[in-house]
Amino acid sequence: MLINSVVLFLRDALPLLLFISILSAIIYLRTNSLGWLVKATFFGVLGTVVLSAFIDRVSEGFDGFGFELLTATIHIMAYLSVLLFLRFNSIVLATVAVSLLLSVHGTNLYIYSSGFWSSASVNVNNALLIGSILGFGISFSLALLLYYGLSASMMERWSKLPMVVLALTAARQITEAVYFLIQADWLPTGQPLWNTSAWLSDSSEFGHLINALIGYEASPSAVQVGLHLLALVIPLFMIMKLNQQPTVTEVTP
Amino acid sequence: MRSIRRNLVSVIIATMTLVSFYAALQGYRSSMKQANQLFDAELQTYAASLQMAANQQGVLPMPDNTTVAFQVFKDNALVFRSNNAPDQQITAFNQGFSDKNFARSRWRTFTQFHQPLGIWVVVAQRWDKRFELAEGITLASVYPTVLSLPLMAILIWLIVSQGLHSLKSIAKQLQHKKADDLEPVTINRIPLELKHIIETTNALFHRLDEAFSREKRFASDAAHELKTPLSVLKINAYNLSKAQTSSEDIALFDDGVERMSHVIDQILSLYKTSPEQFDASLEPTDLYTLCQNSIAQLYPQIDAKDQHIELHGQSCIINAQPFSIATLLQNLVTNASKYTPSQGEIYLAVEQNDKTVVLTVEDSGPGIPEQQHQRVLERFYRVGGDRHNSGIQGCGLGLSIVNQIARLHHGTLALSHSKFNSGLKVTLTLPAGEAHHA
Repeated sequence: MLINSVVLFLRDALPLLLFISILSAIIYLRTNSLGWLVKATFFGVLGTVVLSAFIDRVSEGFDGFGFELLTATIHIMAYLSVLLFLRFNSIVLATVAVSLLLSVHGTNLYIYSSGFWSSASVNVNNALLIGSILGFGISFSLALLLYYGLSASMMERWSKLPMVVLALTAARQITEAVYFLIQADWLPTGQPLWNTSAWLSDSSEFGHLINALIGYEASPSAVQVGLHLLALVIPLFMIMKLNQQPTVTEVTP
Repeated sequence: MRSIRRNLVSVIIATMTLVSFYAALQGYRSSMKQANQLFDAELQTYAASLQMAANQQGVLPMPDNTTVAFQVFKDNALVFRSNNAPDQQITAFNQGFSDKNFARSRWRTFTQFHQPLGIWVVVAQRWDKRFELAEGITLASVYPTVLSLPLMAILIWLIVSQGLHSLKSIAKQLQHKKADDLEPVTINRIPLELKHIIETTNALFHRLDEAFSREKRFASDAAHELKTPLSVLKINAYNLSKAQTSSEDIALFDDGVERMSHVIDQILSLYKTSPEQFDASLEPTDLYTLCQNSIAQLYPQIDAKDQHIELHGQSCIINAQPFSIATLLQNLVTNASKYTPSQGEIYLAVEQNDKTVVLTVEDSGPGIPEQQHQRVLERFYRVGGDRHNSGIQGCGLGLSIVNQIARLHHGTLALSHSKFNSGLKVTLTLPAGEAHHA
């Protein structure tokens, strides 16, 4: 049970926290404020509450694939928000992206956690609690270190690095969306192009980290690889094309 | 605004959390693996012990909280079992471990054939109970890691705060400094990392303090020096306006203008060679040639007094700013000529030692008493004060300028008695330079 809750956090909290840390590093250096994150957290928690309340109805929709399709849609919207953020440098778009992802990952955490906790004994609950602390601790520490690393890089000659990392995590949103669309049979499963499970398993801690950062899959299909590369090239091209220090405009959502 | 303490504490806590939690996770996995091996060994022991019950038959009641079940087969017939085991065969007769489902649970089974007795023993243990037991034992080793984290965070916060205490102390001192407070910053037991910062800051304060004091002194001295020729000029101008002019008045007027012009020239020289204005780009310069040029330039003045001047030595290269050194020489030779009576002697020598070049200027003038050798290097100081008994015009800046230029060239200036019966000897020692190769 301990491992289950650790994996739950590595799968849902880690990608979200890494995404937040990348955006925070970019925005904080320009605005010296993390007020946008408070707003994003508020809207994200609100989204989690609403989504969790209607999860049964959502799941029943679209022949039982309602939640998968909603999750895929939210990931695509988050990706588009990042693209628009890169283009227009508006904090509102960063707030929207984080709120959307917090809603979907928060709902996942809520569903699985409540499922585990409600059906467990005291001993198992202890294991879940410790596992949650370990999972959250590892995820939060990685996000914090990434935040400080990127903040430092922005002040040095690697100033474009956070943008590139943001492009990588943005592409990951499309990989996630593709994964859920395949589950909902909206996209073909296809044969895996390769299998690197022996080198780096999806279920290992490092596998989760790489997945959270760049959407790593040990055995991806051609559709996944193709769409991931396309999703990566667009923001990278935008970063190269802009090639100027953008100015973030503070707009209250 | 970013805080060094907050950043340091956050990064250290994050790193320690990551490492300790990851280690705890790996420890948990490893412990669970070992616990499973232990439970497997326990199943094997249990199966082995059941050969003692080879002659038993029927159903053995087990305690409610038991996690194991067993079956004993003889001649392929179930002869003995625990009451929580089904009456059907749990698993095929293949020796070793396997996983099976029965009684609405997942079970770990171990099958063993006892050859001498001809019996098959199947023992099983519920996976969930076994996992729960193993996790319970393993968690006990993970608790301290998790529970010690807040304590560790507090300790890190305190240690980092203590480590940054010196920096905070300096920041506080600087923050509370008044605009006119140029006293050095002091802290107890200066850390190595802050040593250079404190030294540089204090050196800056010292220079600022010196510069402010110099400016204050300079303003008052300059005003005082300019006041005298101005008064003379005023009287003479008055006399001229009253048409009571004589050739003596015009000469005095001329002297007043000359003196004022000299004072202003010297003030300008002092300003140009001040450390704040000094251009530190030095170039290889021949001191001997500069001496020749200075003598040639001032020769009319020397000749007018029928003085005898000699220059000894040879070409000596120093790293210098030629304009400053020319000013220095002009002051030294002018002073020597000025204070040496008619038909007196002036002697210049340029010598190269191992790593230095020494210039000496000696005259047969009245000289300066030894106790005043240091004082004459001060600005506007003249031997005998304003009422200089030599009757020679001066403003007391000459040697001050010479000393300032010498210091800027990392040289030293020494005053002593000249080789003549009376007179002053000025010895300037400068670091030797390297000849410029084209």
